Amino acid sequence: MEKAMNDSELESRLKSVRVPRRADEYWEDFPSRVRAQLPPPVVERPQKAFLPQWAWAGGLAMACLMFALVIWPSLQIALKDGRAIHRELAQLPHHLHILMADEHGMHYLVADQN
Amino acid sequence: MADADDDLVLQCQKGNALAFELLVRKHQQMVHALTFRMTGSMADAEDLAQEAFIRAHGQIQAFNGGAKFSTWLYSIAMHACLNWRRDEARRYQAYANCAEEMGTRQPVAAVPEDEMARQAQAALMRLPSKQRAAVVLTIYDGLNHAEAAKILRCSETTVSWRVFAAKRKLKRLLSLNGKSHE
Repeated sequence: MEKAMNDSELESRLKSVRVPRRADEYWEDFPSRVRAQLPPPVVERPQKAFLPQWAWAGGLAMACLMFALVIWPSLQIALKDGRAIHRELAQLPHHLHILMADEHGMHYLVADQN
Repeated sequence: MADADDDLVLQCQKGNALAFELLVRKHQQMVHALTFRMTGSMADAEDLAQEAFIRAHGQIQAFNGGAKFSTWLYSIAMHACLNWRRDEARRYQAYANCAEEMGTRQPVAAVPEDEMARQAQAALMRLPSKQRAAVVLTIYDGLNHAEAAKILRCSETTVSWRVFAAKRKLKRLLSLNGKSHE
């Protein structure tokens, strides 16, 4: 009757398998071969602290916005007032004109030259 | 020993490639032994060992010293082997050739030791890869089932079952080979 293989027989049989030897040169070269296959180190570029072109663009945009929201409406009002005054004064060519500007806008005084 | 590894790992994490080369030099034989036992082929063992080291380098920033570096590296190498699917057909052809060669040998009174070892390696290669991994870790490397479970990322019970199933199959395969020589 055949005797079944037990665990210790199996283990000693498995351990009889030796890892084949490699030449010493192989072990010398292997680390450098691995190193050659590593991806190149990522060089972190220093972040630029200031980009002049963006500063210029931002400044210009801000200036346009200021002009559109603040200066342009005031200018329109002033021009409108000026045009109206000149129109009215044109009807009185022989009178003295005094133009005044205060916090309420432009005003004029008309006096008889005589 | 572990301290030396830790220092080298720290230097690797700072981008020192030479430190990594020293780690490779130190652990290369252990990794090659594992990959050879898992593949049964010198060429594939070399490819897998390289792959394992390259993976380790890619993940070195994640190594926090929670385990020994050698255990961590061993785990990476083992998973590289388990994911090894290339040249599967060639591998099966190698088993077939090996088996055929063993079957056609002239009967001898006593099977030489290297022949016994060859049969054992061929039988090992016929196991499913997860069973083979369990055998390599527990029998060749002498890890207990809990340690093997940690490396294989499965439960201890699963490891025990895989070892049991692998041993049963190996006994059967090696008994059959023994008979063919009688």
